[in-house]
Amino acid sequence: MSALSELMNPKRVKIGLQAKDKEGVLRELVDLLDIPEENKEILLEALKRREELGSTGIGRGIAIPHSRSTVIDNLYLVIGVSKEGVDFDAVDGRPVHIFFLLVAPPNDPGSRYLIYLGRVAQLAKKIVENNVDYLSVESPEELIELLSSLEKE
Amino acid sequence: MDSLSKKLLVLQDIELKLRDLRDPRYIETFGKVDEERIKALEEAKKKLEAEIPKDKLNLFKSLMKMHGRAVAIVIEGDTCSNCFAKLPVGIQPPGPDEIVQCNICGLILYFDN
Repeated sequence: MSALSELMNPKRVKIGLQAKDKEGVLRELVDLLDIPEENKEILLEALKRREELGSTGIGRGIAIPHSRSTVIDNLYLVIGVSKEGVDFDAVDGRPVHIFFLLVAPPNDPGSRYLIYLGRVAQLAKKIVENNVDYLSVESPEELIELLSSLEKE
Repeated sequence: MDSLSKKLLVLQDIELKLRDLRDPRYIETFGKVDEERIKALEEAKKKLEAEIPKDKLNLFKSLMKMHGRAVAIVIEGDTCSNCFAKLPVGIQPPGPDEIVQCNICGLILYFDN
């Protein structure tokens, strides 16, 4: 199976998220997907429903919002960075600075969704362990390069 | 009030979410979600099911069992997102209490507009 970095596309990376709250961040991330507006609303509902089960803010400034949805035709990873940080009800109560949004269609061959969710979690662990300075990154391309090399370590 | 096809779409999302929450690979990544919260999601599912006519709910369940999904969306106005078959010319979104199925794969179609 391909590396997580294969899912990273500069068009789906935003440095400098503007949103100040959970719903705003989810909306800003979903907006980076090339799907019709109404479908974005449906996806947003599914993501919010997942957050109601418990925040996907895993602590140390990282969140991994995720959902399957019929309005998605493939597995997509969207990454957003907030310099100021957003209150995302993270497990440690700290603001979240980097978001990995993973979305997938209802069925995906080989359960790629669950496997890639695990890979995102592994990458998050590496970010924390290596104290990666992603906040000083200035462009989507630079962030992808940083995360790709981290994944390979 | 949501249309029947929208309710089925949401029901599918809830079912998939419940399935993932119980998958060992998911639990390994995110830990076990609080049982009370899973119960609340199951309650929401029951409430939604109660709003769906029995024959349509049975169809939904049999499609989920057969294909692992029951609802597809119509893309570009005339294509099923599940099998990518072109839908019959002139196909229209159903009334709020009706559904339309793809004539090739049989999935329930959700028209986004």
